[in-house]
Amino acid sequence: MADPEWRQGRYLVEGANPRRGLAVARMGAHITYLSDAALHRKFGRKFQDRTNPTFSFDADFEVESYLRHQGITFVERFDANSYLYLTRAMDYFDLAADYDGVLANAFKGTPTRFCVISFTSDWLFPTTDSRAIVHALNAGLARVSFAEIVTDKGHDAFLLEEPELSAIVRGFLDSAGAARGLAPKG
Amino acid sequence: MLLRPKRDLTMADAARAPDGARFDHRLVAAMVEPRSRVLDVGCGDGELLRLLEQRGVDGRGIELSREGVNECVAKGLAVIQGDADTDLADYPDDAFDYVILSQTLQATRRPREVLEHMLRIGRRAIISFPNFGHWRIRLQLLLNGAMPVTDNLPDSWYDSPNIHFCTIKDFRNLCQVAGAQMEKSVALNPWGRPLRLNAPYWFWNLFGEQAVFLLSRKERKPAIR
Repeated sequence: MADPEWRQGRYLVEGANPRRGLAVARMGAHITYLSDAALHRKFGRKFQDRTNPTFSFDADFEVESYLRHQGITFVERFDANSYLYLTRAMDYFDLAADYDGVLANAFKGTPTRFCVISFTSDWLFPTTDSRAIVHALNAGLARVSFAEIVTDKGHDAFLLEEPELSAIVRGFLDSAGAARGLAPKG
Repeated sequence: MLLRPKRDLTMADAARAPDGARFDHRLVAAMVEPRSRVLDVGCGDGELLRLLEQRGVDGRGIELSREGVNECVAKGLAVIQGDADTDLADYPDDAFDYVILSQTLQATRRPREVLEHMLRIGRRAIISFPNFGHWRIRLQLLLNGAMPVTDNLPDSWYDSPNIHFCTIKDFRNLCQVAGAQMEKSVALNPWGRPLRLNAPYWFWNLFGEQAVFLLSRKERKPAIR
């Protein structure tokens, strides 16, 4: 929105595109998908295409270059207003508010089976938050499984090869299927 | 060494029914009415929960160790990571028909509060625990003068997760103070087989290697919370 090209949201009509604003927003967000350990392992203090720092505001460090790349490529496949609407929708979403401020009430008597999985190094959706959800599900007597997986790959661990995650999801889906009369295949 | 006969298997492993289930698990499972709701506190690898679900029980579990939890969830069981000492308080009254504590009471920090919460959350509680009054344990302490180590309780005192051992007699006293009504009780020999049912308690306390109690709450609700 701080990008003048946003044009109060009318950039499509006016033939503009707030590329810089959206890229910066994505760069900030991207950090939250990774963990401290994963960033250090991947980038550390390595320089980008140079051996010495230039002591300028250029992207001296490899991690800066990486984040810029993430921001720029995101602009190619995402619309700025969609990004705004999605983040706002998440901000305004408050399930407990619809149930007298008590999250557990939202789950009372639900026949749905829940499986909550968290990663130790995820600081975007940390285990403590997942536990709060599990707590509410339990208090609402929902059928819930909860597993925490040890990894240093941060929030994005769910996109990566994580055998324990696969085993848990498979076990959960198989049993949920079996309970509904669907035999697991093979 | 005379007091610790070597066996190839641990007794819990040896004590298996033809269907592969542990005898103490089968005993607990037999106390649970079909189609009831059960919470298994300290459910380990989920073996008992699985046995119960095979019998049409709606089972939930709490387990302290992450490995145990993840193994259970991968088996499709409704298990969450949690601590009997702290997390039972989160459950509403009368949420379950049975709350089970299998071989875990002696590892809790506050056994009395755990028992009281179990009786609050569930209509009934089923508790199994190793009997520290077994003659072999008494004899070891008497003769060696050191904390007993047996096949079923193989940890040295400094490594053991078991911080609150009790005898069958001690447990009966706890039931008194916690407002629990004893409905059924069974003592098991070292091979997981029930001892004579009509034996007096002192006999169980001496020869039972573990015990299983089915409890309900007395009319007056325990005064907690």
